[in-house]
Amino acid sequence: MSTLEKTADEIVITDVLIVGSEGAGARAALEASKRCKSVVVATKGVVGKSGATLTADADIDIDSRSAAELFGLPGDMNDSPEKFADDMCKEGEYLNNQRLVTIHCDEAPMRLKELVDWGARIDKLTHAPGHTYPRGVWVPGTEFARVLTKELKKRDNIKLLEHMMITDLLTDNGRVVGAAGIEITTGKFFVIKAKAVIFCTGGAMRIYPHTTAPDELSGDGLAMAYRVGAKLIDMEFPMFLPYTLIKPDSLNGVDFSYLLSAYVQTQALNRHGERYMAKYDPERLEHSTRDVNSIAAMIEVLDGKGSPAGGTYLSLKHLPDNLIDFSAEWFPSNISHWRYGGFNMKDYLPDLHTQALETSPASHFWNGGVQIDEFCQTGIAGFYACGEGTGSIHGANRVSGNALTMTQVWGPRAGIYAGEYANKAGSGNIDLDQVMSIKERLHAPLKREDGVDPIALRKRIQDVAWKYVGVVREEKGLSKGLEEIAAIRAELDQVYVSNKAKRFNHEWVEALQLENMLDVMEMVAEASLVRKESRGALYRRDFPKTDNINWVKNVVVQKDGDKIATSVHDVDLEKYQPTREIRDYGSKE
Amino acid sequence: MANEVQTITVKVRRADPDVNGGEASYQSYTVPLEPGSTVLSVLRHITENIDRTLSYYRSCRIGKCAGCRMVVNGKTRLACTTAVTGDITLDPLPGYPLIKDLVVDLSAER
Ligand SMILES: Cc1cc2nc3c(=O)[nH]c(=O)nc-3n(C[C@H](O)[C@H](O)[C@H](O)COP(=O)(O)OP(=O)(O)OC[C@H]3O[C@@H](n4cnc5c(N)ncnc54)[C@H](O)[C@@H]3O)c2cc1C
Ligand code: FES
Repeated sequence: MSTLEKTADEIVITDVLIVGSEGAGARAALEASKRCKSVVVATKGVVGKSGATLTADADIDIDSRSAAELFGLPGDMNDSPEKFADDMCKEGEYLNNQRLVTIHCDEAPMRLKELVDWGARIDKLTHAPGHTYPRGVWVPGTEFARVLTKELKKRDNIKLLEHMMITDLLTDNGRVVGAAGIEITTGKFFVIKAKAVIFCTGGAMRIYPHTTAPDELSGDGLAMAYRVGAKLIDMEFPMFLPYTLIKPDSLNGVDFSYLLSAYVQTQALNRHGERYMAKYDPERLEHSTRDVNSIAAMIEVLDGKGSPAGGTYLSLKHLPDNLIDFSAEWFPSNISHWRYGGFNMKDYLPDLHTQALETSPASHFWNGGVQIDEFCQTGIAGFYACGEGTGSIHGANRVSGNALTMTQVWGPRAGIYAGEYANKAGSGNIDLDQVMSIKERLHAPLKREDGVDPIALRKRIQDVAWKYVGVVREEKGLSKGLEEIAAIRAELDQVYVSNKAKRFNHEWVEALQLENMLDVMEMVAEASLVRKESRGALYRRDFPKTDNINWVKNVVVQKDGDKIATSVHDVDLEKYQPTREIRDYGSKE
Repeated sequence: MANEVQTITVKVRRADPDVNGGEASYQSYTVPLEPGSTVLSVLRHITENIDRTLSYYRSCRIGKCAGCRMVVNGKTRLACTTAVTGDITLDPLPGYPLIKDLVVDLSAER
């Protein structure tokens, strides 16, 4: 007879399981560990060496007055959490949940203070677009990783499971009671029994071929949440960053060139040499918003005016040589002397005195996601979520620096409420049949001897995402995208992994990510089809106006059998209200 | 021939503790050298097009996570930001328990 012990290679039992170990996950773990006996943090990568958090460049927002009062930074005393909230709703185009926004802005200073007390080094205060006051406290992403990893290590009741790809949530009568996954380093099938599970799995930027984000962010959490019936909100708003490199291939998605465009007067050119931004934002040109720059570039490409690699050109050639040379010296530290991250960009870029860069928008951030309430509950008992990959906070778009704030405010909240819940809840039952069918599904691609190549299929998914569900969307393309998604889905049960080794089998991981990527792309496509206007990070070419009369509404998606059910909901505009008008996309209120 | 692609030889130390008692050996791959090739892009080329069984770890691919550290021609380097201009030999980071090929257990670092 089958038993759980025989089916799983390893069984782990804990009060709270946290999936994802970075900005949000680590903070959730630290709070949960104070409120229940045992916490397990499972991460697909290595703690402090995975996820978007450590790549952040990085400003974290708190209201300017608190920045002055708490850290002695040159903040503006006229600012307040309310004014910060007001800006968030403006930038989010009023789709944010205002109750959550208020909590967000109120709690941000205290959470950043904790991080600094733990040893995070802060630098300057920056004033990014979209903020009425300077609010971006400079803390590199690597500082978050360093400090949070150190704090995690201090707690005896937090156990870390690294290289653990969670693949499924386990349910018992509508309650989440744990999760299953594969330990990538050994290939072992794990069952983790938990009284509460918190998803801190980040975004799904990897569904696109061009992204600034790390490789492992394939939307696993979003898809798993969807598959257990959670509601996802604002999924039509993946955000793109313009002017990231597409050449050389090895640096695809690196945003060095975007940063260049912020500090010197660059010219974005199409293949005819036209400075095309003049059509889209004649006043601000390349200094327009990130969205308008991304959309403009994509329209040029779609209209057949792109570069060979499928982007547009970014040129400095109009600038004097000695000005270009001098810029390296005064650029801010993250790009000074042609260094970026660990790159010496001179090894990779053409001579900027004579050549233009080939650049493209890249997927950068996930505005929408699992719908949460103020306690980070998802509507499914025992299942919590926080950080990137949850919706309701940013609405249709986020202001710069506010993604990190989201991790630091909502991570702790999820940890607190899930910890308290787990401390009181009894343990649920693990359904053996469910576990057996998960195990079979996960191992099927390894067992097949022939079939569809997972890497080729991943590239096809990314290609479809870019073409039809990308920076610029319209009904025809979205419908075509959905057809392609259905066709790819039909091939999922033929995917086969040629590498049969269980240990660190990345081909297998790729195979397991495919369904997640497809589910997420389908949610984006369906939600985008519903919204018959353009707003925030969504540009619909066939509905190019922002419609504040009919569309200050959230689109929610939920699994309904084999289909995605979409519904449209009014936003509670209790404090901050838009002007009720229909206006040009990208124009200021 | 005019448009012949330039290739390099990439020698990688391979070992799987589950196979042959973990005995290590070097395996060589012939890989096209492209403008801007990095150690990581070369490894990606191998696993996508030549040999799916080769293992390495990476995350950020911009030199920030330090998860892709390995020994490149005898020196510890980040795979993602190290430019490749000729033949290379790759070894796993020494001093850490080996998981497979170029993957080591970095948890020892905490
Ligand atoms: C290049 C770049 C620069 C940025 N700069 C800024 C900035 O300056 N300011 C700002 O506010 N924001 C910035 N952002 C956004 C910000 O960094 C992220 O939104 C934020 O860090 C997300 O944190 P998180 O904890 O929610 O998710 P992440 O940090 O992405 O962590 C996700 C975690 O989930 C794990 N995981 C994923 N899937 C699974 C699975 N199936 N099983 C187990 N574990 C899984 C991963 O291993 C990882 O541990 C930037 C993003 C990028 C990509
Ligand atoms: S992949 Fe992160 S440093 Fe190389």
